[in-house]
Amino acid sequence: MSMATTNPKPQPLQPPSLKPRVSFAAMVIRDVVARNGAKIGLIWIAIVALLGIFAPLIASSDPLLVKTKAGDISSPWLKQLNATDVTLMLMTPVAIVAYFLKRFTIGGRIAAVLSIGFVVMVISSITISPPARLEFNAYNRYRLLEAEGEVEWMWTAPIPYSPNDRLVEQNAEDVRAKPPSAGHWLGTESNKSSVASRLIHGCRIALTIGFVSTGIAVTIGIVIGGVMGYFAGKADLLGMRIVEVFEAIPQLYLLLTFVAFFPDNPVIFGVTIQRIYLIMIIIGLTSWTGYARYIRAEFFKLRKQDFVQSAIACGLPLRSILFKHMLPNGIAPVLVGASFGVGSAIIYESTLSYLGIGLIEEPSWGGLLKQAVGDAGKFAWWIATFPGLAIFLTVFSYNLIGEALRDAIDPHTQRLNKG
Amino acid sequence: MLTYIIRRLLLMIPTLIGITLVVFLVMAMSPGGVGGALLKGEMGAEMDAEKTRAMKAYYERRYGLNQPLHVQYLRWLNQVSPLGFRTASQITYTEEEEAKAKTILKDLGLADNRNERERSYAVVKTITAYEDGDLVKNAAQIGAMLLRPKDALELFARVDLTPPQTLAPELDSLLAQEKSKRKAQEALLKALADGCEGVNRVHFTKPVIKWPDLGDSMAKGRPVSQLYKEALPITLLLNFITTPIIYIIAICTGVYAARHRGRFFDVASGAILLILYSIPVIWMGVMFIGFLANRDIIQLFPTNGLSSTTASSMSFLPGWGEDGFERGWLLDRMWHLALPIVCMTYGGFAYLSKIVRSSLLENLSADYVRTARAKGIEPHVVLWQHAFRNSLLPLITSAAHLLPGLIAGSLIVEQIFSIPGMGRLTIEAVQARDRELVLAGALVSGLLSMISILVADLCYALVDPRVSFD
Repeated sequence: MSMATTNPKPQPLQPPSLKPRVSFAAMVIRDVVARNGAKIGLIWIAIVALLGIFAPLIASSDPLLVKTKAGDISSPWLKQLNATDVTLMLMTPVAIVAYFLKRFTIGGRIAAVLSIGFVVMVISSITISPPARLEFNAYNRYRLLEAEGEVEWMWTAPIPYSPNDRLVEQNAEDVRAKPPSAGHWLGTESNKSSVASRLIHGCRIALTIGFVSTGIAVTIGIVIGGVMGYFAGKADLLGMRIVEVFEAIPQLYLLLTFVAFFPDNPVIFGVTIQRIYLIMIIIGLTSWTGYARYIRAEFFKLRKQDFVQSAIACGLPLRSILFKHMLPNGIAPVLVGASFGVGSAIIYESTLSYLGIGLIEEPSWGGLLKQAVGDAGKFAWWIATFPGLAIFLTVFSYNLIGEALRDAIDPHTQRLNKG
Repeated sequence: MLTYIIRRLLLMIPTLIGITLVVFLVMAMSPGGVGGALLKGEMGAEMDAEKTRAMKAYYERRYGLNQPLHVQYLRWLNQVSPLGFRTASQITYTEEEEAKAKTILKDLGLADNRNERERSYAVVKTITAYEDGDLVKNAAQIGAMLLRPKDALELFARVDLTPPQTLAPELDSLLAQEKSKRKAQEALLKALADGCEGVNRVHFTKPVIKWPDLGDSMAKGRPVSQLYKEALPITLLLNFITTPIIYIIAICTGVYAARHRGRFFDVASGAILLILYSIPVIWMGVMFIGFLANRDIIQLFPTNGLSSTTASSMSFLPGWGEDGFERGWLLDRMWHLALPIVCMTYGGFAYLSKIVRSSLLENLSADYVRTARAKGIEPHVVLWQHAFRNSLLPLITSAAHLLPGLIAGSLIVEQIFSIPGMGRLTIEAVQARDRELVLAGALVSGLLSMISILVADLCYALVDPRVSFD
């Protein structure tokens, strides 16, 4: 045997090392991060995520700090924050610090960050009441005060406009959308809101929709696909009919019907659901079939393998067999699909908003894009270019990561590509 | 093979029922209700309460919206199914019979004005169809009953309706005075006609084979099939132009990239295709309209529609006319279709050529290709006849899923470029909550997708002799 020839001296038996060797997951992550495409994608998504998290700090019409002539120092900006803003902005630095504390185990750090985050979320949602922006033109108040000389000094956000400020520019001529200028780097849109501000606040919406709806889809897919693959037989037959039903209608058609037939804030089981969450749920409900197919195929292969058979023979509970033994071995293709899925969820949301049945009040990228054409036939190139570029770059990033993940997981394509 | 096709076709029926049931339930569950948007009137302005109520009552009668959900759905299913019970509105009579019935009613004095003429005839026709009776005989009998409003109340029972509660006291008070007898007749006729109108009164005698009826659109008030007859050819035209283009470009780039693996073209095309794949159609469309079809920037292409307003007077082919070059109908159509077609193709070929490349690479590194090369077979024969033929399978699989994608893609493109196809119709239907149109759309697009999947499965057997369905 070749082993014997290369290793003539028999090795003494060594006690099994206590430290686990590098796991498959860690190997895949290292491989993905090492690829240039994935690096570009990850960097862009990090930028979008940071912009989204700190959106209130970057673009807000309320001054961060203001000192009036009377001598009071106040922060109107703080009063406008809601619980989500506070939690996100506090927890991001904590998470970054935790990342660099290499002394502790990864699990410990993640648990610490999550538990601190939970505490902060609970405290902030109890103490902070949602802001009621009742006054129209609130953004103008401090500017008027400043013009009247009432303000000693004022410290504003870098982009001093909130996304829903209307008529920020009171220009005399009736051009509503104005091209980029010194005051508005990316111009204004047809409600005379700042495009830059809406874009930055849209980051959070785009990323949340991508993640949450894909999470819902993956969960449904894993449950239905797992049941089909493990039990086979009748469960499989029934499950595949359901999958076929959802696959036979174009997804966009299903989405349009689902979204359009629900009103703005439906009450389901006594809970009022905001439109943005409704859209996430609907995108998730209509895009699970692919994941179910992947998991089903993997489980078909796995259930006949020895380790699963022995787990069954040991009398382990079904939950343990399915989720502890089979799922980690069959999840890889789902993860690849999911990273492409996040991109397409973002495209679906912006398409819905573009067609005018998605998000209405919220600053969505697709909703912005809709205003590029239509303002009395005038084409506003800045509204078309910047939001479109934002959607494209984000989707492109996810696709780059997906490709890198696929190549890292599948040794077959690796061999083919390197030849 | 034939048994396989028949089995697959039969399996489509439960899937189609599932599709329409899902869409139906979503529409029924929606709190605004079916047709809710229709009640808002023009430009979202609220109509006055009485008019809204009247409209709502009309839609409920016309489309049976006040019935339990399962009854509504089963009615709709019966209406579209080719094998089922005929509804009263689908039964037709010969012109001769109709004319005779109408003259009888006229002679009885039931045709003073247009309303009365139509209502009395509709009542007679519905009752006859419902009972499967004789139109002429019924015309005489029912017409006579209509003249005696008190007796005519029995007519409601003949179509399984209960007369409105307020009707009997109203008739009593009207009949008390001799001069308002005429009014009583009118009130009764109106109530009866309302009851009979459009009602999908199912005629449960014997199931018949009939032509599927997609119903009437709520918002447009026209038969759905008629609307589709106008819109479907346009969408199919777009798709029939798009599909070959997608395949030709995808196969050319995919094969070239696979043959030159790792070289500049492979890397560059890989990056460019991924970029193209990531560009949302809405952005591409908006940029095209904004930059290439804009009077202020570059007016290279028309902004909307399928042909110019003068297209009908053009000759078919381009040629030289009195005022120089005339582009003709064909060129005009192509000029209008250029941008939409580009928008519909780029995503498809970006996706497909990656599949072509990877499956061809897999086959090129297989042993049988090496053997073929070693035998001295010419390289292009190895490539096209050995490797390429074997890499067609994943291409066919993705073709099956391309059609649903194309239908959805043309939805957006038609909206952006204002092309009056199925996509536009669908978006309008969804916005108006037009039940009949949305359900019909789900049915038609579901059917098209499933047929394309079936065709793809049959193509497997054609391409790969190992696959057999017998």
